[in-house]
Amino acid sequence: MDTILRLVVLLVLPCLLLSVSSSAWADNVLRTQMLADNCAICHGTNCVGSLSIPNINGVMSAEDFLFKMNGFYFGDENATVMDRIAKGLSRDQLNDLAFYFAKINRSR
Amino acid sequence: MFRPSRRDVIRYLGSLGLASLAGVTSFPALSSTNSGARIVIIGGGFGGAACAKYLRRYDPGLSITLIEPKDKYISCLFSNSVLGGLHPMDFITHGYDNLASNNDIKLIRDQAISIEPANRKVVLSDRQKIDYDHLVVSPGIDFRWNQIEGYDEEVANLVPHAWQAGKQTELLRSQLQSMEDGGVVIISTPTGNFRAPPAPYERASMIAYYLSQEKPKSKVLLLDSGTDFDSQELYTKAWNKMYPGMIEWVGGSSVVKLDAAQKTVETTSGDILKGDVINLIPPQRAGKIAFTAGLTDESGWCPVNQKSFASTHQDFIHVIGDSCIAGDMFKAGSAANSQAKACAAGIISSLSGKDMPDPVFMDVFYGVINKHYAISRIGFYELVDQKIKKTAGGLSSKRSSDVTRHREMVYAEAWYHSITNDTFN
Repeated sequence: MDTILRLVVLLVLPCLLLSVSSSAWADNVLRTQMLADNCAICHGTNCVGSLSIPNINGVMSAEDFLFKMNGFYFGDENATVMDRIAKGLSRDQLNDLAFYFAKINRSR
Repeated sequence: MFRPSRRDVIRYLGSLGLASLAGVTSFPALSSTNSGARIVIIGGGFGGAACAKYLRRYDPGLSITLIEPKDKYISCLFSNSVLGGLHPMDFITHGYDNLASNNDIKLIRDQAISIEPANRKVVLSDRQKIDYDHLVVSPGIDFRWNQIEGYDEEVANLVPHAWQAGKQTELLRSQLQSMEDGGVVIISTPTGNFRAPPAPYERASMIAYYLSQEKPKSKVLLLDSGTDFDSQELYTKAWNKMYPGMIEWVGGSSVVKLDAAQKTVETTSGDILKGDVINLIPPQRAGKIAFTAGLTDESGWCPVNQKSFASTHQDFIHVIGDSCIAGDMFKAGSAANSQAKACAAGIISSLSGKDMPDPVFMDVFYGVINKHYAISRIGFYELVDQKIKKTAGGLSSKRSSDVTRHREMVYAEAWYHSITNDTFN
């Protein structure tokens, strides 16, 4: 396991840090926005939730978001539709969404 | 090559406390770069209304006009639950005032009767012409009235299709209410591509829901032009449990002739069947204006660039929703909402001379089977070789408990609340 973790640090983390550098972020804004706006089909505009569907706007850290989606993906989290949706998202898309939802407000 | 699993990566990134990074990285808002560009949208359904709203969200500088003759939109989504008596018509009725005022959208309450692509103008019924830089056409479906002998727009006032919600929904509901106990309700699905392919099974369920309470000796005969359907196992199991003996599904059967006076239909196999209530759903094609504007191909639907929804037939015109050909996606309100966002991004990218990022798409169907029981179908789509391909999703698990089915029903209603707010507010 140690070897795996070390490799992750060496290979994945630099890429991730690069992707949050400001110019890369700017290029990525519309892509992430379009991706997240699909979540609004169920979670509502700005993903503030409605009735039984939870608010995911700025209520979770990126870490918690990834942990939750990981749980849906592997069936550790109780789900009705999120298990099927989590399987459609790539690692990059999950990371983009994690940072996006940790931050957004867009005045609700 | 070494590839750590997603679980390893996600768990490890989490343990590094990357969350704190998010706290210091601001997510920039999309900036206005296209001040004054005139975007006109024809059709205020799930496609057109969502496109108007998301154009505003993606670019505060645009001038956005929505042309829609109806005062209020009545959604096909959840109209089956109105037939079942779960909800009143008000539940599926949505005004446009909030959409217009919250998002600074100009509403023209008139019918667009034609488009002049060369001059970039839309012609209204009062002959007024509206100029556009980009036009979004989202006219929904029209019916191919010549396909079933004895069935046309006039006869539909007696034998409802209820595949566009509103008066048709009320007509079918009132016919169900005045039917005697022990009557037969015939539902017939169309041939070819049509709006909401999973919806006939929900309709049969919701009609059975009503009949099982009020007229338990009655039957529902579902004549299906298809020979099977993807949620067949889920529906069959639920029907046997909740409405035993009430719903008869006949695959590979469609109606070729209607005798409205005798209340009989003739099927492709030559059977003549009598129904006390007949719900005949005719074959479909793109909305009328798509034809007059030269946006359709020989299929009767509109080919588009499946990334930006730009028409492949006319420059500066985009087609979204049921009228367009969108790869693997179903024709559905949720699909139209998803396409509307990609189309809005395509337009702002085009105006600023940038290549738009590849979009992803989703569509969502809930099938309400009774008051406490629903199933769902999720589609997750990405662009593969310029075409929209289904890459994930699927149906509710066959093994789910009744508790989960009940949760799906609770989520179905919340989803409807979300998607209508996301489109009409």
